[in-house]
Amino acid sequence: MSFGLSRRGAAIVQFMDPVPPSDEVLMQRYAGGDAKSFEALYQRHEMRVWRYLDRSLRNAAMADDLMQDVWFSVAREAAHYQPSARFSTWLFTIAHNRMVDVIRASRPQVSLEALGTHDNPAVSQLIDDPRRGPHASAVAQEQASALNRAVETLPEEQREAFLLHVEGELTVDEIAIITASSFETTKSRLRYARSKLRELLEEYL
Amino acid sequence: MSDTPPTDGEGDDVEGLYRKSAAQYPSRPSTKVRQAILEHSAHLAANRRHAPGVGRIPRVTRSPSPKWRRPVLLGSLAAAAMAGLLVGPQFLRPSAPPVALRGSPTTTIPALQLPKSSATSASAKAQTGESPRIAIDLPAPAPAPGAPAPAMHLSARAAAAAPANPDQAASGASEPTGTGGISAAASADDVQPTVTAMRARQAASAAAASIDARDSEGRTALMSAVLQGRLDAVVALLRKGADANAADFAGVTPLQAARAKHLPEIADALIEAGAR
Repeated sequence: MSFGLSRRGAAIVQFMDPVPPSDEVLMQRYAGGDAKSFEALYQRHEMRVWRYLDRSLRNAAMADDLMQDVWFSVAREAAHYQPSARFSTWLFTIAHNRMVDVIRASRPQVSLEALGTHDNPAVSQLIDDPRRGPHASAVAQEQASALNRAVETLPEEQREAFLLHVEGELTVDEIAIITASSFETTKSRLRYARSKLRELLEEYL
Repeated sequence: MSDTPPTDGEGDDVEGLYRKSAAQYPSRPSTKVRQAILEHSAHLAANRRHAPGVGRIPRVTRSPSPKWRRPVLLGSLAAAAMAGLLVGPQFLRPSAPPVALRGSPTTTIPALQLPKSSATSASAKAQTGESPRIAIDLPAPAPAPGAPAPAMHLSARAAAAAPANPDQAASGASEPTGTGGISAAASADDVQPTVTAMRARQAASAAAASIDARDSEGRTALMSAVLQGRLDAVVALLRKGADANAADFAGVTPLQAARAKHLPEIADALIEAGAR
């Protein structure tokens, strides 16, 4: 309905539309064949998924492979996506499941349980990943580096719960289902993770 | 499912710092991976565009009414009105007079033909000048040898439609009245095989359905049994060959659901069946 607007006026109204389409709408558009919608979705969630995978695996090469695998799955399964489920929940469920598969497959070589400490040689090898690059001395970067180190020191399950919450914006219930844990267990993992991070990052808070 | 946020007020500062520092994250996915993802997605989108109906969301739009719509609608309404005028009177005719009860448990049905045993008394009453009504003594007489008992009750009109007895025709009680809406062709013998065949078809289609069929959320019967905590059903489905790793559309597997619901026995059964 034009409401009597001229073509120019309609164009201005369209340009000024402040509400970007939701993830779910973009996903539906992509399922209908709109490639631009997928690009918009990817731009919106790229770094969140990347940080989740990279922080969890602590190996950029593995995270790269997994990143591609996850987004290929999203593109492939778009037609089956149910708008009743939040897109980010669906996306991070896929990411988590793929990551669990990779961890299981590579457990003899890289055990995430064993990666809980920096004393482990495997940890040093992974943390010295050249793609991470040297951290600058700027305050913001120093703070970010401290945070990265602090997150890396968390036990696997706490880190997993924390990352799913802050990157995927998942609720406790959703995290509990994805990680096959109870509500109370998940909640306490989150509490321990935050407590430990607060302790390690006290000077920046 | 509760949407309770995990923050208890203590973690806001940590999460705030995390989100603030997220932009400073030192690494990014490689350009090669990014390019591969976008190319793959564009390729799939192009396939979807060229395959109408596959993964396409129907768009709800109000199209302008075509010119032929109004005459078609009016024609349809006129046809429906004509059909109503032709068929309606069949249902608007005066219904049969109420059942006349006599001293004995006897029911009066207008213009109803009866088997031989009842028709003789009816013709006798017709000769006495009474209205052409036929009295049936209730309960119904015993069926003739060889005739199926239910057919006597179900197909009184069917029997009336077939003037097997010349005495009935002579008594004038066999004239078709046309009243009522029940088809005379339906007898118990006709109905019974139809019902049996229908049930057989239903059973066959049920057996043909996949044991891993999914509902609107992608849940299989096994997943539903897990969510309801039905160990017996889970075991039975696994024995029937249900896929122990069939995840729903949200990616949740039966084993994850069993663990989340604290159902160790079901989880063990799933693991034994190869669940991951």
